[in-house]
This record gives sequence, C-alpha cells and structure tokens, in this order.
Amino acid sequence: MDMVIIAMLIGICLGVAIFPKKWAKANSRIQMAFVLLILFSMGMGLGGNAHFFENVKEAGLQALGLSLATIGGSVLLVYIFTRLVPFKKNSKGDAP
Amino acid sequence: MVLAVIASLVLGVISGKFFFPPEWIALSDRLASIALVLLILSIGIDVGMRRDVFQKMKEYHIKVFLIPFGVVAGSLLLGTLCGVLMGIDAPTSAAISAGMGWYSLSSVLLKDLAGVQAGTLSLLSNLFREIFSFILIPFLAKYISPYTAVASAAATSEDTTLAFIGKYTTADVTVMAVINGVICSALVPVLTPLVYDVLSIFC
Repeated sequence: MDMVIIAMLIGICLGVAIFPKKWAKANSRIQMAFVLLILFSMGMGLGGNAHFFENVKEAGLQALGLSLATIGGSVLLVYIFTRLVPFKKNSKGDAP
Repeated sequence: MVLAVIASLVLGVISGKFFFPPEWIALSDRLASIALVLLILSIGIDVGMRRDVFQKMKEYHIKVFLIPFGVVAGSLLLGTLCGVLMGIDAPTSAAISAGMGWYSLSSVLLKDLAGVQAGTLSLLSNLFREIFSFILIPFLAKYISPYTAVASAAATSEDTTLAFIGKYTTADVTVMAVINGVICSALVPVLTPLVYDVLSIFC
C-alpha cells in the first residue's frame, strides 16, 4: 500500500510542475478507464465466490448503516466547528 | 458515471461466475493492482493541477481546513463505531469510512487492502453516501447550517453534488465546497491505507 501513497505524491508533483493543462481531460478519461477495469476485476472475484448472493445481501444492510453513520459524524463535527469558530473569510482576501 | 460503474461490476460478476476460469481471475487481480497504482498516479496529477483551489485556500487561512477536518474526523469516528457494532472489523470499517463518498476509488482500494467483499461493501456504502447527500443537502442547508450540506457530501462536494450545494447555499459556501472536495479527494488515497494499517496493528 506504500506504493499508493508514493504514486499519489509523484502524481501531485507531476501535476504541479510539468503536466500540461490541455491533457487534463485525457487524464480524467484514463482515470475512468482504470476504475472500470479494476471494478470489472473486482466483479470477477465476486462472481467466482460461491456465496456471492448471500454476501451482497449482508453487505447492503451494512453499507446502509455505514453510509448514514459517516454522514452523521461529518455533519455533527462540522456543525460544532462552524459554531465555535466564526466562519468569515480573511479580511485581506479578495474573493467575491 | 454511476451506471458505468455498476455495469462494469455486474459484467465482472457475470464473467467470473459463468465464463472465466479461476486462474484468469487471479491474473486479473494482478493486473488490477498495477492499474490501481496508475490510477492513483493519475489522480495525483489531477490534484496537483488544481492551482486555482490552492489560491482560494489562502483567502480563508487555517479556517479552510476546519470543514474537511470535521468531515474526515466525523466520518472516521462514527463510521468505525457503527461498523464495529455491525460486526465489521475496525480496520475495514475505518478504511471504508475514509472513502468519503468516493465510491469508485474507495472500493478498489478496499479490494486491494481487505479483499473483494470489503471492496463491494465500500462501493455500496460510499455510493449510498453520495445518493443520501443529494437527498439531505436541501434539508441540511435550510434547517441546520449550509456548511453541514458540504459535510454530508464530503469528497463529492467538488463534483457531483456541487451543483446541488450551489443551488441551496451561497456563493461563499460553494467555494468552500470545492476546497473541501479537493482536500477530501486528495486525502482518500492516503488515509484509506493509513487508517487500515494503523488500526490493523492495534486490533
């Protein structure tokens, strides 16, 4: 998994320093192709599992719980933080 | 995007169940690991190119990090707690929670970390987070606080849910949503393996 972090850092350096802006769209398409390829491979692994349908049923309920918990946690902490800290832009800023 | 993701997964399931022998599945697994590293490299390039967002961050100073910090910490805390209560191990629960709505990337990272079942759970969980965010954004923006609408959307606040956030909040909050989305998106590939590895040591 260290490879993932190293690849991310190399990518950021390339993006900041040398990657041409005109290739941004092509880069985004490549990302999509990789995602679909990896998901296809993930599907193959799942399909090869004899207990696939039982696993999906169980995963659905767990995913529902996890998604609601992550939303709830984020909403709660952001609500508390933005109440504690006055959330105005820096006065020297020139944003609209 | 959602349709392409689901179609790709379903086609893979059908191929794995009916057409491809187990040795092909092992080979595709190795290819997917290489594709994952290249995908992360490409995402890194994307993050590095967002100089306009880095510029905007200077206008808000340290406060700009409060929202993504709250989003990440809240997701990890309650997500891990909920996962453990439902019988999922803590490292997997935390890693799924670190996906912050980016279901495509999170699922492939989880597959690599904890296997295909964890990958599927992460895909569903983070996909549900995006869908629920669409439903919750108008309510949160109106009755709780506009920033909590950004919190719900997490990493998706810079792309899929941005138009919705823009519609129900102010221009200022929309700028914060983009900044939050970029920071959360940059954190997903780093935090997911990190929380998994760290919690694996203790749990």
